[in-house]
Order: sequence, then structure tokens, then C-alpha cells
Amino acid sequence: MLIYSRILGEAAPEAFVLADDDPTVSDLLNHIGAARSAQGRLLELDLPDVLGTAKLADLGIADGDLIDIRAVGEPHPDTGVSAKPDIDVDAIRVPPDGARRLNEYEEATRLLQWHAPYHIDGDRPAHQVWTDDSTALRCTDWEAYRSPDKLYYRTYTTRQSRAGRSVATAFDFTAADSQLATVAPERVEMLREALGPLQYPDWGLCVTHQHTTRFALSSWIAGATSFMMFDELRHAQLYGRLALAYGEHHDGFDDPGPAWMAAPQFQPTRRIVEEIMATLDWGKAIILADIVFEPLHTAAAHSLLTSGALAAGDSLTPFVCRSIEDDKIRHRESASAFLRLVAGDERHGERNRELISGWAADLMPRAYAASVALAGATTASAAAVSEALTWVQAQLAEAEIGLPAIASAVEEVSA
Amino acid sequence: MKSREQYQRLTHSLHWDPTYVGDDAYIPEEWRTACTMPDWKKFNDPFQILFEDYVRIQAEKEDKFHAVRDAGARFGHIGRVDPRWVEAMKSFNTALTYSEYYNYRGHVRVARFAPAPAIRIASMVQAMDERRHAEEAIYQAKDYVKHHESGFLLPKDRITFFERHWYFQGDRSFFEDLITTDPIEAIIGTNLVFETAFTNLLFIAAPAAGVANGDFGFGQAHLTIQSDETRHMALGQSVARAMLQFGDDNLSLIQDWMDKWFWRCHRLLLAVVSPVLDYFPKKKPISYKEAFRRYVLEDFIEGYVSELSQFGLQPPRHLAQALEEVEHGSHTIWRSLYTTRDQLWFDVHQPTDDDLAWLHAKYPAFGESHAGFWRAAADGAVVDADTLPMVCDLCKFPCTFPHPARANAFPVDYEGQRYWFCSEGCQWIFERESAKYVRTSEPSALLLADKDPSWVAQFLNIAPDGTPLGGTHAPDGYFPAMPVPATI
Repeated sequence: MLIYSRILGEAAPEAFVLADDDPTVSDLLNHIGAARSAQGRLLELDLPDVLGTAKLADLGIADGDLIDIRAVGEPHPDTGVSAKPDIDVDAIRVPPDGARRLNEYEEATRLLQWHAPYHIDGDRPAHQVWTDDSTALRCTDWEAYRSPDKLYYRTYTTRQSRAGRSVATAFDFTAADSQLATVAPERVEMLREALGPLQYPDWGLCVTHQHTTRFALSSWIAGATSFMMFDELRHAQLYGRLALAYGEHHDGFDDPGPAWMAAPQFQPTRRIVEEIMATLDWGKAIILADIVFEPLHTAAAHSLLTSGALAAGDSLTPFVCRSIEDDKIRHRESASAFLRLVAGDERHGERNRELISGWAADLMPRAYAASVALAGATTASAAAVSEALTWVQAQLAEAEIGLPAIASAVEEVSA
Repeated sequence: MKSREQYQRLTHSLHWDPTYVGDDAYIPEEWRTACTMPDWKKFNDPFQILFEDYVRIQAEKEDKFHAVRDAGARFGHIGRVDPRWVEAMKSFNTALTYSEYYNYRGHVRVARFAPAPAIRIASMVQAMDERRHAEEAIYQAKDYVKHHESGFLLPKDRITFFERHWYFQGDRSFFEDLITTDPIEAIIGTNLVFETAFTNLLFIAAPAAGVANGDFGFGQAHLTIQSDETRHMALGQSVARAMLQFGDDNLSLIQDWMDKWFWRCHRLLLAVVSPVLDYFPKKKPISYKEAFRRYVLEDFIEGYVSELSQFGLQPPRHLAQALEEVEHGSHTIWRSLYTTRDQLWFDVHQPTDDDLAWLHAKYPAFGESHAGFWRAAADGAVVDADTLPMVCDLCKFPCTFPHPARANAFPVDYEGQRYWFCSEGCQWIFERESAKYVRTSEPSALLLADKDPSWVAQFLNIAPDGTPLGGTHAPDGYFPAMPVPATI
């Protein structure tokens, strides 16, 4: 039985656990009187005419109640040495394992996400802190993930600040000699339709990684996905800036929204991006976004934007696409490391591989078809998308994830 | 195109309303805000920043922060920090690290589920800021460990202590609550109340104390963090204003959320920051009470909240209780820490004569309510805790406020269980949303009652001779590899 008590005007409430299920007042006062706060005084319940033999239950005192106590007599403060439990400290200590010195990425990323039991543990999903059920994938040790780029905030901002300076210089040079004013009309016409809407898929990936960063089950994974998230904002803004730069010299670059929402070549892509954005399983979202969709989509988009650009008088767009591609390569490596972690898990790998195989089988043919629809049927775009497809298939194959059904479905879509 | 239009084009206009999956799949009702706006797309964040500008500015800030660190290491400043301030950092640094880390993970959730594109962009940028702050706290810990080995939590211990040690459960409970709220509530709780009202205590008052005691790295780190906070404050203020401008439904929500987070912030900061201003430092530039009145009462309540009264917003409902507690809070906290110092990894000292003179001067009630405790301790009375306290079922701090002799304890019976609260504020928060705060483990006393005494001693960090075992002395595997209740 748990009883809280406080000596009136002296001490904050203290907890006492009584072994007897039906204790008396004396049982309780013996416990409280032995505590240091009693200072050796006689104690009484702050109730009228209570006998020591009275049962607490008969006085209406129940488990978890707080009772007030009066102390009678002069206090005698304890000046003795505190009794301490007898334990063998050496027996519970583990000697250092002589592990190697950590690098800064590891120091800045490790051991930041705490674990259950949580104080808030959900009467509904939005009230859960972190939960294993936030992804269908299972992993023996989510803390084992490492991002190959080894980025942390300091190195990330330094790197992207440099990349930003480089791209800003390219924009400045292009503006200084009004290069985009003289771009070939056929290219301007193509970009008028395609350039602005390309900001949306990367924004969709950004939203996706807002979700994965919130719910990922280790600080290592969230660390990687948060940089993916922020990079995708960068890419969406760079596509937008390119459109604004063209809009300085040509009409029709003001509002890409209608084309994104209605133009046929974007609809397969938009459908997929919306599905990925709405994927509340964070592990699945990483696989869908960065192993399957993004490589195919970016290959198609950049093929569209860069093919014949220099010949048409536009050196800016290929430069910007190259800078975006640098980020995307990092993302793919980080996602591949995630794929290897879950597919190679000794205990859960087989189940994870089955799940991923199913997800890829559903998405890959459609992502391939969407990229073909986006880029059009040119030789250059076919080669670019094919190369991306080969990369996707290689990642899945290396992770021992079944490919035949996927490959044949892609062939059917291609046909 | 003007720059504001360009900004809109490159940020807010990135959003579209999905049609293939529909709103319910994109943002399920479970995750939506209860606030309403006629057109969320018209909300405009006040501190507009593009990716390229953000990384450029932040990279420069990082360079400055690390330059100060490097100088501190080269010229040995950190080794000359006053020892009492070092003890403050042993307690404070871990709390700060995880607090910032939460905010990082919490604000990507706001970015994902907030209804206004402008809020989503601003919250994502804020999330990156918070990640920066967590990393800076980690760097500071690294520097402290290098120069002051004894007693600092190493990373391997840090996570275990944060998860399990009673000292951190109030902190942990606060952020678990904040990471699981309505997205607009998260903005009100974090950006409006925590950052606008309370972070000046953390990032202006506390650094002033740090610098006064020789910790220039701490001062630089927190001033650079505060430069990010100004962006966050601007977002919180503009969200609150926009919500209040659109109807009575929002007013009651914003009022409730401000009231709730005002009390939770008050309780947390009182526990974590008040000792850092009033007790740890030898040189004390400002008392917690003075800082609270300046930054929370005058700047936030009498300034910002008062200005919003035109929309019906009232001062926080438990402001009077908070002001009463501030008279006693740091003393109550320090007494509690002193009586449990064997369970802590940092030193909790008896106030010196100089300290006592300062406390008497700054806190008129100190003499009547607290000085006697220290006289008894100085005279040799053993005041070490030999019982477990009643712990508030909301904030997870002991029910010992405003001070031990006049401690409040409020009961609520919910679904056949009795819950206890340290204050009307915590009780009110629980009653508003009881299902969220249902107890997830038994009270500590019950959990410990059946445990092997050596297990309890091990958990509470006590060696057989009574000396504390914490900090760098806590080895791998020190804590038992078994499920441990979080509320001990």
C-alpha cells in the first residue's frame, strides 16, 4: 500500500510503501517515524481521536492517499552517518573496451534519440514519441546506420554554402551578359513548359523527408534524412530560380502551377510524388523516394533540361543541374546504406526484403513510365533513364531483393 | 518581379493541394491542427530566408563559434573557468543537448503537418537551427570533458542518464509532451512561450553568468543560438497574431495553449536554470527572480501579451502562482538537490557566507523560509534524503513547491487511479487532456519497494561508502540492461 505523508509546516510529501494490505495507524506511523524528516519526534495523524489500532481503511485512507502528520516534542536532527546499501561496485563495472577514437560525424550524431518507456505513450498515434510501428521494416539495431557522406551540421552548411556561392556566381555571370535572352526559341519553348513544374517533385521529396526525419528510429538515420530534406528545398528553389531567370527575358515563366496540376507529361510523376508524400511509414518512404523514384526522375528531368542546352546558348541550366546532381548522389548513397541495413539484418532481413520487393514491384514500373513520360522519347533521355534504372536494379540486386517481376513489369511498361 | 514575390514563388508556392491522394491521406485528421484560418496560404512568415542565404549565414556563425572554441582551447580559458560554474555545466549541458535535439525532431513534424505553407517552410528552417544548437552543446561537452574530466557525462552515459535518471525526467516529460502536440500548439508552446518568453533566461541571463565566471565559450555559444531564436520568436508571434485575428474559436485554443506552456516552461526553467543563476556561480550578475521579472513579466507579459489583449488574449492563467513560486523556486530546487547529492554526478555545495548574503539581499523571503535549513546543515545535521518524494504526475518534479514547508499537492481521480499534482497549473493541464497524461509506469516508491537494495543503489548512483558514482566514473553497462521505469 502506497501512502504519501507530510509533516505539517515542515516537509514536502514523502512516499511510504506498507507491506501489509490492511495496515493500522501504528503501522503507518512507525514507518514515517523512522524517516529522517520526523527528527525523532512522536507523530500523530492530523485527525481527531484516532487510535493506533485503527485500520487505515476504516478511516477512509486508501492506496495513494496523502495524509497530514503532526509532530510532537522537540526535534532531534540526525547527525549520524547515512546508512548506505552494500554493493560490490567493481562487480558491476565493465572495463573500457579500447574502442577507436570517434570522428566528428560520430560525435555529433550518436546517442541523441532516447528510447521507451516514454512518459507520453499515446492514447492515439499523434501522441506517441517514437514507436517501432512507425515503419513496417524491422531492424535489430537502428543505431547501426551510418551515412556514407558523414555530414553533420557544421560540415553540411560549409559544403552547401560553398555550393551556393558557386551557383550564385553562375547566375550572376549569366545575368551580366543577358545570356538567357539569346537562348534558342525552341529551347525557351520547351523550358516554358517543363522548367517551372520541376520544382514540385523535389518539394514533394522535401515534405517526405520532413516525415522521415521526425519518425526515424535513430539519430543516425534522422541525421541523414534531414539533410536530404533540406537539400530538396534547395533543389526546388534552384529550379524556381532558373525559371525566374528565364522570366526576366521571356514570357510564360510566371506560374508553373497549372502545368504541374494538368499537363499530361507531369501527371504520372505527380501521382507518384503525392503517394510518396502521403506514405506515413517512414522506412518505406525512404525506399520509395530515394532508391526507386528519385534516381529515375532526376535522370529524366536533367536529361530534359540539359540536352542541347549549350548548343542553344544556355550554360546556366547544366551548371545548376550538376550542382543538384552532386546532392542527389549523396542521397542515393545514404539511401543505399539504409537499404543494406534493413535488407541485411540477420533477424529481420528476409521479411524486410519481401516487403521492399513488394513496394518496388509496385512503384518501379510506374516510376519508370513517369520518367519516360516526363523526358520524352529522345535517344539522350532513354539512355539517361536506362542508366538510372540500371543503378536502381543494382541496389536491389545487391541487397538480394527479388528483381524478375520488377524487371518484366518495367519491360511491359516500356513496350 | 519584386523580391517578396520571388520569395513567395520559391517557398510558399512550392506547395500544392494533392488531388491523387486527397487531403485525408496527405494530412490525416489525426495530425491536423484544431485551429482554423479562412485561407492558410495567405499567412506570411515574418523572417523570410531562402536556402542559399540560410546556409551562407549559418556557416559564418559556425565559423565564429568554432573560432572562439579554438581560442579557448589554445589559450586555456576553459581550464580556468570557475569550478562552481563547471559543476553547473555538468548538469546543464546534457539537458540543453536533448532539449535542442527534441526541438529539431519536433519542428520537422510541424513542417510536415502544419496547414500553412509559410509555417512549413519556417519550421523546417527552424528544425535545422535546433540541430545546430544540439551540436554546439555537444561540442561544448567535448571541451568540458577534455579540460575537466571529473564528473562530466560522456556521451555513452549521457543518453542513459537522460533516459533513466530522475534528474532528467522533468525535462524529458516536457519535450515528450511538446513533440506530440497539435502543430500550431507546438508553435505556440515552442516559438511563442518557450522562445519568446523564456529563452532569454537561458541564452542571455545564463551566458552572462557564464562569462562572469570565465566561460567565454558558453557565452559565445548561447549568444549565437539566440541569434537564431529571434527568427523563431518572430514566427511564434506572427502565428499567434494571425490565429487571434480570425475568430473566437482560435482565441480559446491559443489562450489554453499559452496557459499550458507558460506553466510547463515556468516549472522546467525554474528547475534547470534557476540554480544556474542563483546557486552554482560564484559571481552572480542577475538573480533568477530578476531575470524572470525582466524577460518573462515585463517583456513578454506586459509587452507582448498585453499588446495582443486587443484580440482578447489574457495573461497566463497561473501567472500569479508562478510569480509566487519564483520567490522560493531556486532555493527549493537547490535544497532538493543538496539532499539528494549522493545520487548526482555534479557537486551541490552548501552556500557560502557570501552566497547567503546575496540570497538574503535578492530574496526577502529567503531568511524566513530557507536560511534555517542551511544553518542546520552547517551545524552538522544530516539532511540527506532517506525517502522518495511524491512526484507530480504531470511535470515529473517532486511536489515541493512553492517550498517544502508549504508544499502543494492536488489530487485528481481518473479512471480508477489517483493522480497527484504539484500545482494548480499541472492539475489544470492534466484535466484538459487526461488521456494524454495517463501514467505510463508505477510511482517510483512502488517500483523500488520490491527491488533488490543493491539494484536500487546502483540505479541511484550511490557507492557502498556513500560517494556518488556518476559522470565519467560510470562505466559501460553501469546501468542494468533491463527495462527501467522512466519516472524513478
